[in-house]
Amino acid sequence: MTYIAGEYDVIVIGAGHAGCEAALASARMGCGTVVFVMNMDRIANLPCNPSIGGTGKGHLVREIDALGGQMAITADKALIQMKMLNTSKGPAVYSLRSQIDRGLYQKEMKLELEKQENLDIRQHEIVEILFDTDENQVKTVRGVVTNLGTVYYGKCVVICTGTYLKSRIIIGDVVYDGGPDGEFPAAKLSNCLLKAGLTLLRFKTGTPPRVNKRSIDFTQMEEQPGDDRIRPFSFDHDEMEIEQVPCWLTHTNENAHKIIRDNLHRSPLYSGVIEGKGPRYCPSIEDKVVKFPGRDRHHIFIEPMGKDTYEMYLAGLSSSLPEDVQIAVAKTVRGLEDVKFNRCGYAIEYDCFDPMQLKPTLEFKNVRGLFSAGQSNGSSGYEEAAAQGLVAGINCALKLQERQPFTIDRSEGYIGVLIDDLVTKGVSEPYRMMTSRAEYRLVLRQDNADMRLTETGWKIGLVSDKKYNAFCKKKELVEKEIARVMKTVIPPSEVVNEFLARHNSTPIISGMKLDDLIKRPELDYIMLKDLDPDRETLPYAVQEQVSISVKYEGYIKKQLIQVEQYKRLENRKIPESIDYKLIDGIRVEARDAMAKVRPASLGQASRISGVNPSDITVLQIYLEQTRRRPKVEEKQNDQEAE
Amino acid sequence: MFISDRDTIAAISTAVVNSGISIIRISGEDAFPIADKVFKGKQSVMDMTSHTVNYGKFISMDGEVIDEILLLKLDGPKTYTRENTVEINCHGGVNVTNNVFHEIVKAGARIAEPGEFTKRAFLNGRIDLSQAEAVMDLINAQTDTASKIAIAHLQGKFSSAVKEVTNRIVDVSAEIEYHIEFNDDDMDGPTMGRLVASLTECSNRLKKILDTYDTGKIHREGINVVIAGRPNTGKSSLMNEVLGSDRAIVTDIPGTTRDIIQDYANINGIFVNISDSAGIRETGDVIEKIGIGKSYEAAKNADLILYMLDLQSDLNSEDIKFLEMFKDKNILIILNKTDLVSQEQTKQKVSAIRCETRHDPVTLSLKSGQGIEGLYERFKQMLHPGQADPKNQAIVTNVRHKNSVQTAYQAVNEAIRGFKEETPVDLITIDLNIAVHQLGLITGETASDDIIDRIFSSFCVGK
Repeated sequence: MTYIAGEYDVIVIGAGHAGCEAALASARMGCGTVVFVMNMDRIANLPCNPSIGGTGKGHLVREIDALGGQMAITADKALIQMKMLNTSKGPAVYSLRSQIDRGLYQKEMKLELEKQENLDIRQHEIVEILFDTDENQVKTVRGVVTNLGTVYYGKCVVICTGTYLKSRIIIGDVVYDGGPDGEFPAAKLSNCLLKAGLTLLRFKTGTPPRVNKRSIDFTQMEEQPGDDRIRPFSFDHDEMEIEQVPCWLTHTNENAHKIIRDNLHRSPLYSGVIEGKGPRYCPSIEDKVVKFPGRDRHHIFIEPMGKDTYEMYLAGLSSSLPEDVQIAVAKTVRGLEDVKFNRCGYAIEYDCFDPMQLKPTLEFKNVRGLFSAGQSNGSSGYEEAAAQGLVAGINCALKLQERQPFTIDRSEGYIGVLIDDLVTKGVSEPYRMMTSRAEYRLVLRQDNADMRLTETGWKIGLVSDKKYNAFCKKKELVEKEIARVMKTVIPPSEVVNEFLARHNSTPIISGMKLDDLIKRPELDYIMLKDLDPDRETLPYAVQEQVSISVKYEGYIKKQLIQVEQYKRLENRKIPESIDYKLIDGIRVEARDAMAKVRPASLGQASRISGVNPSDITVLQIYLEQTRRRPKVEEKQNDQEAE
Repeated sequence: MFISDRDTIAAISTAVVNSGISIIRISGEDAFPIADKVFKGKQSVMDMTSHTVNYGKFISMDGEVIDEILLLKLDGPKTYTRENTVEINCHGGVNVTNNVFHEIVKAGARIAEPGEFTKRAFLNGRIDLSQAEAVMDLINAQTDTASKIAIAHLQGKFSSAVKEVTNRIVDVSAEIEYHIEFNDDDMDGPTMGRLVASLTECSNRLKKILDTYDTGKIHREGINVVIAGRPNTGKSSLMNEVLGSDRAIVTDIPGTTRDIIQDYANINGIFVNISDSAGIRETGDVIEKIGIGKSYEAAKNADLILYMLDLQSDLNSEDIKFLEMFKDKNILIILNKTDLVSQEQTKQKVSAIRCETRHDPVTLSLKSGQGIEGLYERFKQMLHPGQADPKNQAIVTNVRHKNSVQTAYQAVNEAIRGFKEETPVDLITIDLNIAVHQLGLITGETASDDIIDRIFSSFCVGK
């Protein structure tokens, strides 16, 4: 007898970063939600490294916050260090990176789920997804079956299985079935997904060793402190005062490289044991040594796992070499001569979906109500996962409430870039967010994520009124101050010119507009405070916005023109019912590619690999013809009626 | 990488040759305000009634009067493209037409893609696909296959040169991105220096390509050739030889040709606007004097001067004055009448001329036909630098390509300036992306081999 344990609006499989956001978003939008996790003590685990943010990733975290997601708020609570990266490289690429107390983060996130109304947490492995199939062979998701055989019915199911699907751990020549961080794998679900006609890929990633702090000689390393002024992830948090914990920098050397080279035959990467595609941007130490033989050293960052533990990560030493080799390599490193390992680095292989099977809402094109988010879509990283989880969770709720689906385009957010890349171009390695993937990154800055997305988040119903009101107030302050700056004229005076001379800036002979001064390369908004007596004291976040908006106005305008052009093709929608086989003149390669992706707009179609401008012209003509045809027929009908 | 269908576009819709009038057409949302910026008549373009012809002056963006024109205002949708359209009839000289066109582009119109007017007419429901194809067939029938191949040939070199520059810029971008994404440290001075050097190289290459535009113009618009020389050296005979007809009156009376005689010819596939001018000499004859003045005027505007000399006489002060005056021009000296002197004399003469003028003359007899082939060969070499230059330089032949190269060139220079002013590198990449995008518009199109794409791209702009 089958035990039917319940019926939910939304079922989320997995409670990693994608699963947590999906479950919270759906529940907060009023849907009865259940989230399944294989181990309640591993909710929102950070097995790879104890850090959130980084270039591009920090942007994602801020966007998640702007939309009413959870990651930024919890990360701020578990923060032990914060750094703004790229401050010399320009406002578009300023990126927040934090060190996180892993244990605290998990605890806080678990509590958040537990407290959430409409949300149940169940500790089970899901072994099967149930479908209904109609007379046209169209599948609709029906529910899930647990490892105990229990059935949960649901209208939407979000797969957030991370690296757990059929995962296996590889260390040297030792291979065993297992999930990350000593967890069990989810071995059974893959088969059911294959049977449902979905395409799976096999990817690989890895983690570095973890060691005891007492065995490290920090005097031999360079200290890497956090910023003096902490800029929190969440827009809710203005300024934060915490006691920051430093990281430490050391390097590999020729001895380490020699050991690696001598033991390459024992590396599963080079012996062929590992089949999965690994990420190029996050290579193992053996990869680095082989691919960059000219480099005599590689960075190793020692990162604390938290405040209440002595475990430290050796970031940069990610490896799947045998245990003895990992230890021997580590011991050649300055400051690690007497190092004591807690856990070995390992490689993990897992099943994930070909994301081209998904719509931009992250729902499968071929299965109604089935969504996927996170590493199961071929991405990598906590932030990428959380962003997708949020979008999937929101879209489940909107679908059930029969509201318009929610998508972000490439000019509105990194989340849009991330999802569009995944579903349009597919993946050949785990996908990591980078600022260079965003065409319009000067308008997609981390400081203005709220300006771009909070209004939308509020309309969806995820951003609270309190947060929205705070946002509106900030927006008003920013706009008012920009308007004031644009109107302000600085008259020439001894004081002014003395100030300018001090900053190697040309003196002024007649009154000069404040914004023109701000635009001078050697000056900026904040330092010109002394010449600007009418300036009120504004919150730092407001000053930052004003400063960037005014100083880089010219470049921002340039980019906005590009955005406008982009939007035009993006707004040319393609009906879902289109049959590419009926379109003459599109090359076979392009036709196959478009039929696979089924782009939602001409813009998306133009980004599919294998589609060239002429194909788009043909498609455009076809759309125009079909749009016109019904009118022609109507006319004929009218005439007949007469 | 796609061109928007909502921009306002412009194109010269008549063939670009020296003709009576040329028509430039502007189509799109902003056609009227753009036309208004360059038109000065009784009323503004906005206030004109639709489908009326209006007389006025064409003013450059700098306020200079360029031409007197007739402007036809057409409210959409009763137009070819169904968009607001302006047609400007200007005087048909190649230079005037080009100047007028460039000013319209400066005023905000985008240069139309090949076939774009017809594409819009189609997309806006004005014509169906078969009509569009028929228009194309008509246009293609007038197109000389050989010249098409020649142009394709040039474009191959052009696009590979563009690709090389693109690759370099992409390399620079990639290095910057590496530093942004994966390197916590600041970019150091030597790295920046290297990138600037590489971009400077790109800038130089783009400049070089841009400089070939004038050469490329030859292929696009034909060239002005003027025959000059003292009286009775055989200028009119040469004119007739080139035209293959007795267009000019030939006598042995000096001063027969008093006005400029103009005609068109095709020399080795190059469209030539050739003029025969009055012989240059001191004269008391008023009419002849005016003719000679015109000869100088014509020579001033020439792309190539064919300077005729009679082998039987030496260089005189008139010749030297003329050659000195036009020393910056392309000049080919032709020594005529080899049939009247000995080979030995001819040889001596050639080396004397070389010595005195530093020009390498050709020798021929227009009467016997001896040496004429050699003239055509030299002619071709002077006009086809693509073939004459052993390095096979890339040449821009198309205004749209030139515009892309120009924009890319400016963007690269902006980027270089950015580095020098220590602008944050993420902003510099915006300029680099613009450059790559613009160059991609050139190479992307030549890569396309699609049928429908060719339907539209083989349309001459503006039908």
